[in-house]
Amino acid sequence: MRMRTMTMIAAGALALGAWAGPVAAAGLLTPVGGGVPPLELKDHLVEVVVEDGYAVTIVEQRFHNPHPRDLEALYAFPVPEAAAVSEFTYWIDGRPVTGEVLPKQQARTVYEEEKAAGRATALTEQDGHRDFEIRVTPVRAGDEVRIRLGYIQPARLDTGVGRYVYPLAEGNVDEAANAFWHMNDQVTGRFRFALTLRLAAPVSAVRLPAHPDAEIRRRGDGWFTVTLGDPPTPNDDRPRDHADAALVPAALPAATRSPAPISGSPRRLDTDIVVYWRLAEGQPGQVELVTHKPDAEGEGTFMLVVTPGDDLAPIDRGTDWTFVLDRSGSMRDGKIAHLRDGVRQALARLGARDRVRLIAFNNAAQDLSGGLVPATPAVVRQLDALVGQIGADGGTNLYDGLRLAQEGTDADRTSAILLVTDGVANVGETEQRAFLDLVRQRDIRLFTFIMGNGANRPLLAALTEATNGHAVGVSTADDIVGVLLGALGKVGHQAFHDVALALDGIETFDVVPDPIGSIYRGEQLVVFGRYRGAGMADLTVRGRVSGRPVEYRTRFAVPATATRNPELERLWAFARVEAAMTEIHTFGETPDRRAAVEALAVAHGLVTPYTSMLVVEEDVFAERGLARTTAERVADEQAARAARAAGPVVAHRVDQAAPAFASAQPSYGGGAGAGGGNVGLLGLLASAALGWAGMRARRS
Amino acid sequence: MSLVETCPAGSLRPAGPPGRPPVVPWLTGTLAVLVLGLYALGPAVGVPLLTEREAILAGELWRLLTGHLVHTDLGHLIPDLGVWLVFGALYETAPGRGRVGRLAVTVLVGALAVGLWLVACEPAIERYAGLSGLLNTVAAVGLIDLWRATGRPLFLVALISTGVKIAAELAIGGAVIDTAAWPAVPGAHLAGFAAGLALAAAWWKTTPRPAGAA
Repeated sequence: MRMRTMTMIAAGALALGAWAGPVAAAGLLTPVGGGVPPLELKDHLVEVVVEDGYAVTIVEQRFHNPHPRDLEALYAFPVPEAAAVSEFTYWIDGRPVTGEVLPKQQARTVYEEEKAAGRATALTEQDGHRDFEIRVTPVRAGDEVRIRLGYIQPARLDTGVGRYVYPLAEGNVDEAANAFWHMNDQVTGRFRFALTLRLAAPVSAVRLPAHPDAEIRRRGDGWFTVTLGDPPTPNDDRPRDHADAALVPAALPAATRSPAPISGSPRRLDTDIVVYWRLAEGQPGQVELVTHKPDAEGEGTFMLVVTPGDDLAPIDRGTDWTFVLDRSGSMRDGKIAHLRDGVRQALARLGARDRVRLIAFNNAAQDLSGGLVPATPAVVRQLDALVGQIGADGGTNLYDGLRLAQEGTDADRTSAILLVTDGVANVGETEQRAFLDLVRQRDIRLFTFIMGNGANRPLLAALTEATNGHAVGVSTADDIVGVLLGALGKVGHQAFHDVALALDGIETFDVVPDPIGSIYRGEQLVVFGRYRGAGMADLTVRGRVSGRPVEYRTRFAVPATATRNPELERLWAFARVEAAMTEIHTFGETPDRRAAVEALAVAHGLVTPYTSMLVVEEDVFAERGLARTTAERVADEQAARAARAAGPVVAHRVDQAAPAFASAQPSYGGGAGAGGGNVGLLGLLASAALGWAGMRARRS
Repeated sequence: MSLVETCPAGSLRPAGPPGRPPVVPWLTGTLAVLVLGLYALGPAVGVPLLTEREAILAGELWRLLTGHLVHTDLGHLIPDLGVWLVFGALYETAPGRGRVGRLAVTVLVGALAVGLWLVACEPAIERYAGLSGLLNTVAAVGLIDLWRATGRPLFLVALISTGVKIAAELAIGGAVIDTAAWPAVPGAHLAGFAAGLALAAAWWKTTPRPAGAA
């Protein structure tokens, strides 16, 4: 009875906390002053495999209850970018039980009923754009529980550099939540992060900027392993590719860095783990196709990745750069320091023909530079000093910052707004529709640096998309120089606009994104879709560069069956869900829009703001008439992962026979430049005039 | 009567008065057809022909010459081909002996000069395509030839303007007006132009002069 009462108290406190929402960081939550003792985060083991164009992340955790009564565990972690939670497993009586995706309210109701009945149950929910929450009950007195969560996300390259982020850092975006919850982010047992990179293209370097203690091993041209923390034990469930050293060619060099010592002190989950990999220079512009089609007569899913060659010329006529900097309280600590560092480095890279303007905002926007000013060395020095003094406090009037940035722009010059924010608009106008109306008033590209975890990515992504701009996530664990170089390279070069793609020869449908929009220098175009049939397909990618049409073509075979990558179905479905959620954020939620997201997410086993993943005891699924479709899908995906790990790395390039691009992919190396002998139309006209004059002179 | 006669060097040429130009500029036309054909065959054919620094250093020396024949897009191809047809045909059909041979030498020397310049002096340029570097060689030789043949200062002004244009390109680091997908390489234009001036200097004494000139 006493135990039950305490559990009720804990649940009540948790329910009270629901109004505040969780916090954007990773850890076990207990209400501040709620009388609920904290659980221990015992083990935190992360396995990531990046292969075939996407990353699969599996997080296994053990929560320990050192107290003399049963408790409920609530674990929260930031939503990783473009991640679809695809697996949730709870060990009940020592046996793993995989969860099923249900509409959110139904899942919550079943969870509460099972909890009230004292049976084992667990739930994973998504709280908007900020957090995933995992609830597990009961965590028996003096005992521990084991759970495993898996998610998948596309692994794109930008300017030849891949980036994976395991988000852990505090987002600081919700003061109310921070005041309510106590977060225990200390791992008292084992902590391990292991990432396996298996690419067909050669990789020249792998780097973890915030974790110099990581062990990086090269096992092949495009095959690396990265490990951080404690070594694995024989009892761990681990993918074979980590263990199977026999697959490593003997001639390859040994570890590039000596293994880190095993730390005896607790490890805190307070810093994002960012992993970069850089492809070797001179990789060709190319088209890659990954498919999943278990039945030759049925429908298949495809992921088409177009990596354009370096065909975009630099813009060297000078650019107007307007920096719009968020200095609200949520940017405090690491984010504001990162912002200052990044903007100062960007200022140092402006050219003599450029102009610059600095706007900072918290409760209101302020023009620090007094309008657009030439980026002379003296001005840059002054602005650098100003940036160094920017502190973080107050609210976030993002709308005012963008409004001010749009004033005084020059339509005759190339202009770009560089917005650096964590994107939590909470002062002044906050409706997404109003923001979209604002940014569409002028033809200015918005380049958004989304700082930290918990940022309002849906809003910022929608704004960026509406201006044909580009958004990039920035962690405090990122190399800010690299992020800047990428962004400056995009603004400083021509871009492909109004990009459209046609795949003739097979029937395609439900393609996302639609429309595609713009592709900036270094960006990949990743398109998901469904198809019927098989055979030769003609791909045409069309767009406009500085107003003139460009077209790239290739021809390749689309397979009748493919079973290597079953995760593609969920990646496609998640891309569709994201597109639908953007529509909901912009135009509002309607029963039809919500139902469409729910149906897609339930059918494909995805956790979304409208659907959750529920684990109950195995026989309870049957008692409640809950189908085990997600469990079957998870089993298929696990089998496919094991098969991939045991086999060789597979290349998915399909345009070798008829390359779509003549030039190599752009890179940061400075050695991937391509040049064209080009006399221009002026040269042609002058030559024609001289030719005519020459003919006349000869005759006379 | 024989339809052919033997020239001093021992080769055959069409019968006719000495110094009469061929009616059809076949070298200009052949090269233009080659350039058009390579473009029409698509990018896959052009890739192994590009002037690619690493490949040349690895021994694929043909790329020094063939990269000039490859073009990336129509904005690149049309101006280059147009200028080639004007200057090539004008030079090839001009009065005087050995015009075809001189044009062929001009093309070879220009192509090599540009290719070697790219390999030696432009390490940031991994690959290069297009006729324009070579066209600066042809333009320099052709304009000096026209100026010397007609005595019209217009052609000297055009020659100087070409030099000024290249200097401007070098100053701003790109083409004054760019129509191609790949950025222009002013250094390649400079190398081609310098090669043209050197050839014109070498042929100075044998270049035809206007009637009555001293």
